[in-house]
Amino acid sequence: MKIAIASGKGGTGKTTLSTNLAAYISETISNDSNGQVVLVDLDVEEPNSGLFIKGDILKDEYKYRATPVWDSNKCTLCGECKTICNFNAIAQLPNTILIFSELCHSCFACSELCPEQALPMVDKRMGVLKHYQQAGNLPNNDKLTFIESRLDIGEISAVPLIKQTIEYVEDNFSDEIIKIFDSPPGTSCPVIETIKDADFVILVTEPTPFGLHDLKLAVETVKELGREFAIVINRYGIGDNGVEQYCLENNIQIIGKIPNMRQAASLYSQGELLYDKIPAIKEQLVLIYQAINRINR
Amino acid sequence: MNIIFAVQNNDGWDSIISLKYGRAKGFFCYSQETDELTYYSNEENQNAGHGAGINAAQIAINQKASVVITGGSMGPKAFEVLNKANIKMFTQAGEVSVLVAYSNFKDNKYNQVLASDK
Repeated sequence: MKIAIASGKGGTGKTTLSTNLAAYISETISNDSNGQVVLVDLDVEEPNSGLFIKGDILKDEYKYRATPVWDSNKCTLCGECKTICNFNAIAQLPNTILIFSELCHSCFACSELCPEQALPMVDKRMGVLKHYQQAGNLPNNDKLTFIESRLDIGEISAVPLIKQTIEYVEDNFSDEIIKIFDSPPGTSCPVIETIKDADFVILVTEPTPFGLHDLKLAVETVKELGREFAIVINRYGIGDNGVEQYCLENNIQIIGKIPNMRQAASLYSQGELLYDKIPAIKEQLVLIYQAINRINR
Repeated sequence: MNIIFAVQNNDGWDSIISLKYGRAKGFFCYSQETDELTYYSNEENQNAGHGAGINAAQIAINQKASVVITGGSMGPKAFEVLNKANIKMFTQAGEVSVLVAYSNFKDNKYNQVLASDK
């Protein structure tokens, strides 16, 4: 089961919820010999789940994406590639084809449609995937696997790396295993890639007008993608009741309200998990996990 | 010689020079040989997600321009394409009319840009 933890607004608590929920679930399934939970940090532009979940590295592999390389010997400068490219990644100079690989979406159109086969696709490194086993800072560490991908500096698109990371997870872990995807913020392509095949999306928001504004955008996005979803309010107690009102009016389920606590911020700033130290937060994780199990059934 | 002016509106010689290049509203191409001033819209490119500068540079190349004039800046990708195509860039025009910019250019009041802004 794939659970994506997303938000509209950044900084609402996606990573806090992802890491604590994954750790909490690993604890509750500690007696289940087949039990396993996989936490995947898909916020590849700024992965930070790894600040809270540590473990022994099992695999460390480069990820590549294919971009076209110009073969000047074969090219007749017909200009077809430049016309086809939907991403403005190709310019045609009087005697040269110029390719901006950072703008390339690896769609293969120019390469496939080039009448002279003058644009072969060549792999280019875009980032690193790290697979950790037995997250070492947790009491029941053998149940939790952590995977994160990190985009190389200068790479413009997170989507291909997110896609390949999800493929890696699908290839290595069976469908019934709970996988928690720590999603990028916003509602743009990287988020779509993260949530489009999720079985359940948890939207984390904060109870403020800003949180509500971006929550509405996120709700529209998950609805458009036809995903099942629910809301978790983080830092509950600040702001106003606009988010609750909105959820009530639109029949959207709120499955958890994580209280706003100075202690939580303090632990977070030291890279600590919260649920094992703050009972009020653990209570909310219990409720969230119950909601997940209702969906999973 | 053909000269490209990045502009904010389509009003012939009275059009105002655009501060931006890749996302200018349009371009005028002036041919010194034929004394013709022709407008090319760039509105589709204005809202491009990425690569507006590359497309805009492509317009200059297609018009066989030797010179591009903008009011304030030149992005890194447009610079790279224009530079490779040996098209000279001048970005100090400010928001003056195309006529004034052309006159200033002829009087050598602008310095050629040799590196991009970013």
